[in-house]
Amino acid sequence: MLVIELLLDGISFGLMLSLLGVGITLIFGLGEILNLAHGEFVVICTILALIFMSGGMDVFLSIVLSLVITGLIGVAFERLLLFPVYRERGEVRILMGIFMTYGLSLAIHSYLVNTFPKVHFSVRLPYRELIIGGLSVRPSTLLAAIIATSALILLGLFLKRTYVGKAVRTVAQNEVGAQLCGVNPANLRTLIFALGTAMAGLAGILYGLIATVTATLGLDFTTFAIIVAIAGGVRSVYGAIVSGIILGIVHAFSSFFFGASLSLVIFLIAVILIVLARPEGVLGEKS
Amino acid sequence: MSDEVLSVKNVYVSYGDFLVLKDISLEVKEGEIVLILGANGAGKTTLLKTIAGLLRPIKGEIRFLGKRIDGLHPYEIVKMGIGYVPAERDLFPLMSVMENLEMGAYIARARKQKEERLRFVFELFPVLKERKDQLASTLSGGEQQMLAIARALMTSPKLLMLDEPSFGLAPKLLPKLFKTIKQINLEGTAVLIVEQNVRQTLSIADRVYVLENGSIILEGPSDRIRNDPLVRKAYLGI
Repeated sequence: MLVIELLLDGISFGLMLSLLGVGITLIFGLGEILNLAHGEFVVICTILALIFMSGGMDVFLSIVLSLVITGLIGVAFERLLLFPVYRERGEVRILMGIFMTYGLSLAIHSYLVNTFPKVHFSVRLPYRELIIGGLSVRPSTLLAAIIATSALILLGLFLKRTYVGKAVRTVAQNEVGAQLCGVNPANLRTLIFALGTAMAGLAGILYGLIATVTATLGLDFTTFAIIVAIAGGVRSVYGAIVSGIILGIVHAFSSFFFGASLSLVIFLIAVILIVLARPEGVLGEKS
Repeated sequence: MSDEVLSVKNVYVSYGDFLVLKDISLEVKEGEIVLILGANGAGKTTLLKTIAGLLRPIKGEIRFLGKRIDGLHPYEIVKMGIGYVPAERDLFPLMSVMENLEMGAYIARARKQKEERLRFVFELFPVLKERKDQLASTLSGGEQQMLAIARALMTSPKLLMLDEPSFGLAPKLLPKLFKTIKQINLEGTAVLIVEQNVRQTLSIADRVYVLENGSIILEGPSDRIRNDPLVRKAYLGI
């Protein structure tokens, strides 16, 4: 029973990691920008939601609004700060992207920690634990998993079925080829930045369902997001989803059996093993 | 003048300090197949890339159907009606043949004619229809070349530019390739082609430009060029 409960917790946390990792993967795949500020968007979104809720706004509406605004902040950042980075190619672009997003991450982090030092975001559902066949399941865990899964399915449908989603994939696979089909990569990069940062925001909201988000956590989320993306193969969206789930499960088991501090070590060992066994990512896709 | 599809006037292109194209002028008229000849490094690919908008000239102007296109982005030039098949092919390896073709019809004008164009390219390349659900990366070299040409045709181009379409193809496929290019041309698409396979391309080309060290040193109708002593010696090995 315990094993299954831990598994459910792990999957739920893992799906949240997938949301984070997919954002990093898409943004890197389209523009070769490793977004080191990714975790800050998690925090921004939860603080926005808190501000709206404390102003008396409906919970659902507050969350939707904060997701949209987080995406728009992502767009503003991408358009204002990343355009000089896109002018460069290859290594220079990757390095400049790292400097730019790391700098932004530090700026946002210190601002948030100073302005909202006491903020705690968590969503408590007015339901008690469900007992299903002897298993005790927290409704919030279940809800987080359902929302994350739905978001990931919607993303998959967008990329697989719509013309714009397919255009996103063409830019990731061959940017010159995409342009020769009439695709404007710059617009899609902005769109994906909005989508990626909004998904990071959603991950924050869902984390609030299973734990508590504070203003200091941005860097931790960034670390998790990058680890998930790397274990997923950096350029594979499905790889990031699978690697998020696997690492979520590893995290749940290791923190239960070994405690929080040792669990991070085990988590990182798991990542190293994945990367060693499958250098092209968990799914081993070639890009 | 009105039948001019493409006109390149006094164009200079450089990579850094190195001048790759010097004072290039050429034109493609409606319904023509124009061949560019030249040794490796003469600047042929650079010329096509510049027309496609992947490189910018430092001097000169390029007009397509009377409108200036130098300085436009590649995706804008596609919208105006130039289809470009680069030597690298630049396919989408993790997408199916069908998805590659659908992406060729991404621009609004082409999307409207998608079904019709699909029928046309499947008629030209029946093997693509057989393999439509396969990933592009699993195709043979020849099939990838066909897909690259087909994808460019899906954009409904008025001018098709081909960079070494015969490269990497089995010799027995070549007559079919050149027949297909002629067929595309007869359907109303002007063609600008760079080819190593001089003899066969000359047989379908209307006019020829010979490029050497970044400059055009000779031009004329293909009959005359075929008998030019310099061309016979350098490109036909006679």
